[in-house]
Amino acid sequence: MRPGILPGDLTFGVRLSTLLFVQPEIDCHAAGGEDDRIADYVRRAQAGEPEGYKQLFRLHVRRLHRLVYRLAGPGCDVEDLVQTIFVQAFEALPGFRGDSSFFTWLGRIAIRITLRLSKQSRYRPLPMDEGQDAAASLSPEGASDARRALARFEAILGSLSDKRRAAFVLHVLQGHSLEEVAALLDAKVGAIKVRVHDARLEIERQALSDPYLARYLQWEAKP
Amino acid sequence: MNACRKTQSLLFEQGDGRLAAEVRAEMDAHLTSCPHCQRTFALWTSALPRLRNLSEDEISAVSLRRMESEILRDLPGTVRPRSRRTLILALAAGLVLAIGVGMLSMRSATSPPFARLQTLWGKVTLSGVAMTEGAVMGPGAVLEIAAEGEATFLVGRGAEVRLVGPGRVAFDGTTKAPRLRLDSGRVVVQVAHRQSDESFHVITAQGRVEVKGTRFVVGYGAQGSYVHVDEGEVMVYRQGEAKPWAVGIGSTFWLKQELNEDNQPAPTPGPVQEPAPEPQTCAKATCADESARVRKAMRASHPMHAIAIVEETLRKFENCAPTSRCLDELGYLRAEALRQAGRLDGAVTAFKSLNRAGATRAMRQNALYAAAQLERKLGRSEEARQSLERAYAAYPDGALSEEALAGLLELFEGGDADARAVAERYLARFPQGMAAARARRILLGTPSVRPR
Repeated sequence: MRPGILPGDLTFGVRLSTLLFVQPEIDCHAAGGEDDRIADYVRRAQAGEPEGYKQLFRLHVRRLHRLVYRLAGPGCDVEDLVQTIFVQAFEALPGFRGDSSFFTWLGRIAIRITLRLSKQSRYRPLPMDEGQDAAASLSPEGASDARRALARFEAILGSLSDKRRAAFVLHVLQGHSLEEVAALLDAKVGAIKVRVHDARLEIERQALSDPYLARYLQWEAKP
Repeated sequence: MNACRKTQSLLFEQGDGRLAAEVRAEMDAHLTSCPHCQRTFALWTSALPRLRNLSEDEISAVSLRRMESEILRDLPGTVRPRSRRTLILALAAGLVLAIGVGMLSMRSATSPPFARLQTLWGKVTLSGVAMTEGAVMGPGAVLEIAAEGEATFLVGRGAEVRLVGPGRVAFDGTTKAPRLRLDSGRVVVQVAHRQSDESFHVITAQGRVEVKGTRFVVGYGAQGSYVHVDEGEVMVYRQGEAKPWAVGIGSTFWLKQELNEDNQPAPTPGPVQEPAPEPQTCAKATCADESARVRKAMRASHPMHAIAIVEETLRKFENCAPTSRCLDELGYLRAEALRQAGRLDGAVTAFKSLNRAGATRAMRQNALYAAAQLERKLGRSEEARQSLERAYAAYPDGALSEEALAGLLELFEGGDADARAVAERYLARFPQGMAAARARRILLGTPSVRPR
């Protein structure tokens, strides 16, 4: 174990707190000052200044981590994926011309890598010895409603095709506009609408047939 | 039907407030007349906030630091000599610089200070005067440290002494042969290997501990003073005994002579303690394998299974002697698993138990920082503040030092004297750091503009 690096370099705790409405995680069109700052860091990184790379990493790592986690699903080595994405993105940075925002460019790389690598065995969920499902393995006192709901919702997301899942995650969970999702996934807006629509119907179908998740999402009382 | 399709395709655009007024009005009109779309809209209006919150926790600061250092280590385009000629020039420049630094260091090769106060948590006084980090002491200094305090000193060449209060210690001797007289409290000492003309002694009321290079703890307990050896071996000279005792790794030895019923020194077993047969060391691979299993369980969101693996592993270790590093690793994983399982109080206790003598500084810092995060989450601000102070003091140059001070800034947002003191400490260490703006705001007395 290297100094400063711990066996517990794992962050798989689930946020269990607020249930209030949250603003979308990602804002592709950051405020003007933020845009300028990012552009400056990009220029510095392209000139070979480590500080530029460092600031780009720090500014984007958290939201990239959320995106990758939601795309890849539970059990994936998300941190390894995020690291791979940054390494590949920084290698490709000299080719970034600023035609899109930096995060859109980075997001495209992230989506491509995540969808490709999350199929590989080293990133896939590892089978448990006992073959339990996530909810069953939690003790009654440790299992919270949110955790169990998360496990079930992630299972539904995992059952969607890559295209539908990516479109749904980006548009619905991450809060990107349809146009932004189209740019990120290199597809037409119409195609994104169809994918989100199909994913939504499938999620509704599966969630409504799961009493626990339906109750958590407050869907059981709906007509 | 077309209106339904359009409404449903723009469902989330409307939820996020991205629709133009006329499109929104058109949607509203359709919703009032279409029960099917009303139902869909109602479903997602209630579910969306929950789903957006239903996510992985923030990535930990520890992980961020690790990733950052690994990513930045081999950057593709960082400034470096690109041509052979530039490379030769750079090498030549480096050589000149090295020679210059070497000459400079030879010229200024004075003895290192006898002792320097490196880190401080709580209050330490030297002859009644409060000390600050960086203070230098000569032989003859007598220090007192308050209860709950901790201070780390660099002593002589290659020795680090952590004094845990309440306690009193006197420094004496020379830089090559320091002598610490421990009157009360506890010292955790790590001494680099001594040269033939060097020595290091800790003296208590009942005897003296001499080392050649090791890590050990000397303190006072119910039976007087004791020494516990974490690494290597120390020689213990009890008062009234001519010959020393050799105390090896993992052993605790009381310096006070045992008395018989007549209050006379009990017969001692011999001049040198026979080393006890060492238990079979646990296979290194076992620890690594079990740790890997625990991680797998955690990554698959099975924290209770992870905890069960840790406990099973500890049972396996009953017949062998795991290294302290192995135990720390398992302890940390168990704490993480408790956190993952939502058993936050248990996780705090588990993290804090890793702040023990003998644990690496990085481990202590990381564990205390993790405990502080949970204490904040549990609304125990004062405990979180103490944990952050300790996390910083445990390893001022560690990977989480900046985060620890930044965490303190957040807890001290009020702008009082404590907040200003932390802000000054932060800016002195990390003038360009992530919380520098916040620290400056505190010093200027400007309230934070970010809602918390």
